Amino acid sequence: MSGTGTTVREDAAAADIPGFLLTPQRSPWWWLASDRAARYTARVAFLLVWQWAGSTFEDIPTPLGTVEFLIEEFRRGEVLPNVAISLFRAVIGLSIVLVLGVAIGIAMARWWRVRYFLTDLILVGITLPAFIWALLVVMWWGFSNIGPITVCVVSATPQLVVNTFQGATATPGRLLAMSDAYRVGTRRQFRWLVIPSMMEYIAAGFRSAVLAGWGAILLVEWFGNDKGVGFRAHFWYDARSFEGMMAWGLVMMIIILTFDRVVMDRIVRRFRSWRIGGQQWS
Amino acid sequence: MARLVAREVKKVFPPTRAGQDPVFALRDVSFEAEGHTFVTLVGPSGCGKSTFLNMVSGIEMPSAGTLEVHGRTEGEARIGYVFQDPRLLPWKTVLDNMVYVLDEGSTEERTERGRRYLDLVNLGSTAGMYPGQLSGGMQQRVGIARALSIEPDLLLMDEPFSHLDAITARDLRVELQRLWLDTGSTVLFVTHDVLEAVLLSSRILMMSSQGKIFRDLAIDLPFPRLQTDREVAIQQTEILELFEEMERPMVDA
Repeated sequence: MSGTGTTVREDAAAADIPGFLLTPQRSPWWWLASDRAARYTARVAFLLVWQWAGSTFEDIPTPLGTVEFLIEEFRRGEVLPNVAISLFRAVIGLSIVLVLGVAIGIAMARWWRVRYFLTDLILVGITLPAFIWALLVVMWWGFSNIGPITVCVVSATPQLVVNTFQGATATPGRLLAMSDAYRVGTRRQFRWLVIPSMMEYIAAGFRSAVLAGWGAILLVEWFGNDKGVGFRAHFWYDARSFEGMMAWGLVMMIIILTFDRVVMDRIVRRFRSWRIGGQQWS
Repeated sequence: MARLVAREVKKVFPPTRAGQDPVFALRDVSFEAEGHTFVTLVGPSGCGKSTFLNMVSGIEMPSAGTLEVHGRTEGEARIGYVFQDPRLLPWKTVLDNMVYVLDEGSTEERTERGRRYLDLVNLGSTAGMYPGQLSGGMQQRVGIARALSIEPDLLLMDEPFSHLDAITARDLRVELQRLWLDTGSTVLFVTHDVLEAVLLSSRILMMSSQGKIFRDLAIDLPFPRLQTDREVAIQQTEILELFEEMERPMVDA
């Protein structure tokens, strides 16, 4: 209702405002109008371009051909065992990364000697490419679980260390001073203040660590292993099957996207639930 | 009975660069406060008031002199601290923020005590909310409730209303008088607002910009006091004149 007791539409009609201004307008960019619309548009466009490229060029598999190949791999009983072994290596490797990365990051923020002792080593870890590590562990340990897990740890831990270190140094000093004034014990300060203040940094670091670690495991499996998703992709590379390589690429992508969307997104959302009203630190 | 004793307390901040002079934040601060008393340190910004409070709380150490806080019972005195900003853990609910500083009793007892003190500042209904969902004034009231919940021997308050709008600050000053009269705590309050000091205090320690106490005044006006009380305005004017007298020789020089 407007101020005089009439509706806004009645007021608009009395003021000769054209009717089309009072009805919702569909933007010519409606397919990009919301985040969901933009996401679905991008997916459809990607599939269309892929299908077109696959139909035009002989060396590029089509999406349909890739899915058909994957179904065949299922029937041959190759998908589940190879995915399981790669996931097993990833869970072990990334669990070690989580413990080591957080512990080293906090230690570097807490003790300057640890910080200066490890700074260069962390830099080496970040800059040395994963494929060098992959070749080294294949030469050292051959076909085993130790190689992929080791490369996952050495490639992914530095990412988490850097983020955790940043989080630990960003813990608000005023809240620490408040805790000291109230004589809050060290353990409670750590659980209630230090860890929660770092959680977003740790989550962001672990997200990149998962990408780096997963990629490292696949590399080792590609170069020197007889089981796993990377091995199977390499198998079809040797057989010069484009559909085979693409099918296993799809498996790698589905695993990492599922983990990111189902696990990481939920964790990040949970730790952000308090950010109502945009407040960050008191 | 709670007692605060300061004897010739000095605080010097060392130079941060070669060629700089050290900074004398406090020079020979001595006084005693005891029992149900509301003592206010009032002085210009940068005169060392907040530094003194930090030293009483144990966050900082004096460079020289002694500071003693005796509790009502044996053992370490309990000290509550209300800061300029509320300093609440933003990722914890209001009730969790209360429980965070409580260390005695079971979880249920601490939760019950937290709720009781939230009720005392009329914020019981916000227990499950996050600090970011509250207004600045409500957050500061949570800070006051948190300080009272430890049932402190000494309550320190560092310009707790300086970040709030005038109307909210006025209401909280009235509420603080009520809480102080009800709880009987010893309060050490810091402000640069003379009106606020007169309104709340039973005793005012006037500090110069050199970090010295130059006047110790008893404020013998009945509680509760209002900003509009005539006697409050008169007392405020007298104190402002004392500050002017104190600072005049320096301005002339």
